[in-house]
Amino acid sequence: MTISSNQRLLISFFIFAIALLLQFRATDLVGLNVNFALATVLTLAFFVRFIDVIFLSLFGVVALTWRPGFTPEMATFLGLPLAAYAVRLFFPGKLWLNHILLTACGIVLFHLASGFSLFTSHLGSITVDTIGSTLVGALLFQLLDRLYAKT
Amino acid sequence: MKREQLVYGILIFVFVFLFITQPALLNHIEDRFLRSPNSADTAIEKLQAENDVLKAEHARFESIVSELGPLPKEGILADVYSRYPFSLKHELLVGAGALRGVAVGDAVAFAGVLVGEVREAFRDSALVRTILDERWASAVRVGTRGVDALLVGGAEPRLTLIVKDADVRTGDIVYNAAPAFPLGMPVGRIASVMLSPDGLFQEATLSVGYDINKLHAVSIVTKSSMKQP
Repeated sequence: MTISSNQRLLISFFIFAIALLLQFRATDLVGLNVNFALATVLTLAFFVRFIDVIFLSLFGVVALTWRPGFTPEMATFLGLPLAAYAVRLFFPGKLWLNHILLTACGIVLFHLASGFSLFTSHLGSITVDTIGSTLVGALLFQLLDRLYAKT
Repeated sequence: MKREQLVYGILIFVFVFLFITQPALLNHIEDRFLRSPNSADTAIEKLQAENDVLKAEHARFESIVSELGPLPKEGILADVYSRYPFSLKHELLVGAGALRGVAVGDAVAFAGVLVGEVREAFRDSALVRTILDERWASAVRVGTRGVDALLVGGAEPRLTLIVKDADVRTGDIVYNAAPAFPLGMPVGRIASVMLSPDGLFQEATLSVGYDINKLHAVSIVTKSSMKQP
């Protein structure tokens, strides 16, 4: 059975929707600050078409936006999946390693964008977020890699 | 393929258009589909908040009655549209803005209990930083003895710099002492008391009588209403 690009997008959209719901309830559900949404969209960028990456990023920004205007957080949320797609395109060897590095750096960059003073004063929380998000992304990456490798 | 690209193009255009022009509409959609209001919980939380208000007033009258004017009883009612969805920051977007007289620095309350302050005022909405935000710090007083402390925000707000020999107990009411907000406005109650890591002061954790993540409406106490007798 072959999974077409459109089916990949549908699967990705479904996974991303779950990640967004988890993001809204992250602290209540797991008691930890984990960036489910960013980790998921970065991972999905390794498996879908360029246009799908743009679509998913925009959908994420629209769903997560909490205030009028464009914020550094949202710019990072839009830019990082595109970076992930570029990594996939130009550095195709050892994608899993590239993915882990990109997710970890992406989460750190996201926190830097949201406020430098917060970044320096809450290194502990940010470390937990980085490790948790990278783990979530790595698990999803392995799952999707096996799913698509079999088809 | 061309038809597919056209569909994507339209979808992306619609999202961008909505994002730029209708943030409030999107927040309503989020409110409609992603939140689960629980009226019983809200009623209990309101009662608890009212109880805190009464206790704070009692404490205030006992300790510093001569210094203060009356607390403002009403504010501008506003719906809570959305919340900051990531970690560290704790911000709310509420549905009242500059058009209704909301300005930066106004106090935001739930049933009379201090929840946060307005950080940005837009035309029809305002961004509120709550006491759960890691960047929050404000002066407070504790109990009928009016012990001074510093409220530090976070997922678990705490009181720091409490004098070591001050009589602070679990259950004591905590009320605002920062001049930016109504003096004596309750903030919460002491949940536990301990010595600071350096052993020089006491610290305490704060318990608020409501779930800030389930608030659907707040009131904004403007600076002008604070000045009125």
